[in-house]
Amino acid sequence: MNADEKEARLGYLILLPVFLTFALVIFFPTIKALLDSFSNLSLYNKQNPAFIGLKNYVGLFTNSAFWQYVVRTFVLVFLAVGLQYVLGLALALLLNEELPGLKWAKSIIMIPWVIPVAAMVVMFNWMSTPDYGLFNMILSSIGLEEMTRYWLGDKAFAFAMVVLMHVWRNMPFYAMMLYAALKAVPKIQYEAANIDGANAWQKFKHITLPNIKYPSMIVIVLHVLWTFNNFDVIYLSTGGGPVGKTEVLATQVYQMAWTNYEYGKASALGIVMMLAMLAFSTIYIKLVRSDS
Amino acid sequence: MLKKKVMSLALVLFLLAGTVIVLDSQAHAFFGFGDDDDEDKALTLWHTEFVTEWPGRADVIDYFEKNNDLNVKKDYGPANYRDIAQKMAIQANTGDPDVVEGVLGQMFSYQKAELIMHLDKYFKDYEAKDTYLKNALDALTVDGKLYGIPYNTNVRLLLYRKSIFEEHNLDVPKNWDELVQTAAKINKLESNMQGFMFTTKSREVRAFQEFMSFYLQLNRNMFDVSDSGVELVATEDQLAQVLNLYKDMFFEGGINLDERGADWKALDYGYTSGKYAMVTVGPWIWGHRNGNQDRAEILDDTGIAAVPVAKNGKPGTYMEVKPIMINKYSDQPDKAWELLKTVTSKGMQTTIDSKRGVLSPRKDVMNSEAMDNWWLSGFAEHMDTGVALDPISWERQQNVIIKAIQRTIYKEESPEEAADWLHGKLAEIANTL
Repeated sequence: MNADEKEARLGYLILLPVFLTFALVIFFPTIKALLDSFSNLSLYNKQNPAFIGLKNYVGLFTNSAFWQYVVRTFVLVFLAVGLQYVLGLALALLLNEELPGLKWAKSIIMIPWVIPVAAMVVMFNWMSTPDYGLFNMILSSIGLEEMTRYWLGDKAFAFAMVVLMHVWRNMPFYAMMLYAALKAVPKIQYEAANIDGANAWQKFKHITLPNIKYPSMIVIVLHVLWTFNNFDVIYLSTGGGPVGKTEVLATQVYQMAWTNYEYGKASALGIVMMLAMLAFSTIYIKLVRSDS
Repeated sequence: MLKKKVMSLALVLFLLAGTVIVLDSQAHAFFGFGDDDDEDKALTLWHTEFVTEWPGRADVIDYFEKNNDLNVKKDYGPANYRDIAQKMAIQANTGDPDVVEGVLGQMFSYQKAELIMHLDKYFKDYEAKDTYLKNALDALTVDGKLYGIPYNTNVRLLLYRKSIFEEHNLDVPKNWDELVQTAAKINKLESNMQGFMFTTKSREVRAFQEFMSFYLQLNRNMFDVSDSGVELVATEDQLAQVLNLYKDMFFEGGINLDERGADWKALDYGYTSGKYAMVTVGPWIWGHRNGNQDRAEILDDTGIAAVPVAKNGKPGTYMEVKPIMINKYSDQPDKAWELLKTVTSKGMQTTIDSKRGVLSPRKDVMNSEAMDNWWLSGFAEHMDTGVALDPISWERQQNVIIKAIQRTIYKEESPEEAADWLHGKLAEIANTL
């Protein structure tokens, strides 16, 4: 055994405990969920669930409500992540300009992100209340009383409120990540562009965007996964209502597992969600890499 | 070189030790092994009254710890019933917790999942067994076996603002039509007050309970539970009648349409802040007076009346009974029973129920000085109209009932169409119970 092999062996040995822990806390539950998804496992037959093949999956795909939840989940992810990215990037560019009087903003900008989700939902709930909620008070004060409503209980606006909560909470995270990336862009590239007579848009398109591509990929992938699987914002604010208008796949998994206690069905839906996100992450990362 | 090897070996051993610790804790959670068999192993009690933040919490814990001789862990479990139910489903077979508090619907689920033990062998020799109200014990009995000991009970009643009724010379509504008319009248007469309020948020258990408070006047059961299975006995007409009450209330001026989708907090705090003139709630709302003079004044201005009765219905309302249960997998069932007795003792119930302002299922507690006040008397007077839920798990029914309410009040369907849909869903659920 040469020195390199010895070193490699030591490396594997050191990694072994981490692999073992990962195997137990990640792979074991995933394999268990996969196996459960082919059974009729529920709280009431935990000792002797029956193998039912693909019945849970067939049940999902032939249920029209499932496809509504799929569409709504993707719309939520697209709107929330899209708005978060655009607004977060705008904020990062603003911060990067080092404008006078904006230093304090860097200190407080992360507050929405560190507030617990439950506290954020309580806050938005209060702001949405019909009589004394901030949104309605503002509308009343500018003469738009007829527009006041309980925003989380209105079927035309509840979904938009859910998107707003996601954006409000996560935009600062995007801003700080992208601001850090902007700081790492070599100034010399901008100076060269200035000499060449490039305008602001050309500098943004050909220097800024390519330089922040990887940090952008990381925040987008992270937040697509997070928003796709997010359950607590909707569950705490609207409960999936009104009339199912904010029901998404994550709330359905919860419903199946913890309201109906149908673990087999919940596992099947969880596996479908996991595969969808695996596909997204793989394709997106490959696209970004092939582009470079 | 040797030093490097020793350091590397030490690092590997350290990481392996960490892994073993993680594996051990995971294995305990997954498979239920890894605990020591200590004779004096501490018992585990999960009880929301010990954990949820409320004004009487410190007194409850203090009383318990002074009057308990058993070795009980001081971590009293999750703060809400949903978390308790989830953790029970995952880990009850580890034997932890030994004793658990819950709500009635959960008890039926635990019983069906065989997570709790029946208490007949203990209860038959229990010296305090004759102090319990029969209907409270009946509510906790499944297939002739008692699965929990009740520690508080309540009925939903109509609470109303006496001064508003006097000022406008209004009578307390006796039936559903009067309820809608009175609520609409108050809405017109009072600029900053709404006549009535329903909870209608998705997945909000209170919305289900309010629906049942009215439904149970039309039919004492929603399902027929027998050895041969569960059968839906509610009729479409009965369901439509209750949904029509919701429609009338929202579309004839009793409740503002902006209030659709509100949760229990909006209702409870709305009433005690003077926003609503009438609500159907239980006695727990008394707790709002602690430390808040304005809310105390509104509660002092409150009248208590029976829930208005349906046309063709009988006086009735949703009765809640909260049980304390013993985990079937507890490795110390005898000690768990002793702990259960302490938690449901006269002193303990008096401490919790008097501070909560709720009724006790023990006659000796209800006759004590601490429980002698107009509020509890007002609720106790109507206790006989309380109807407990059928002894089955109710989680799925709750959701479809709330969906039917929302279909009606958001004008997705007429009450009759929503009732038709609800009837079908309830029948489907019955087939799987």
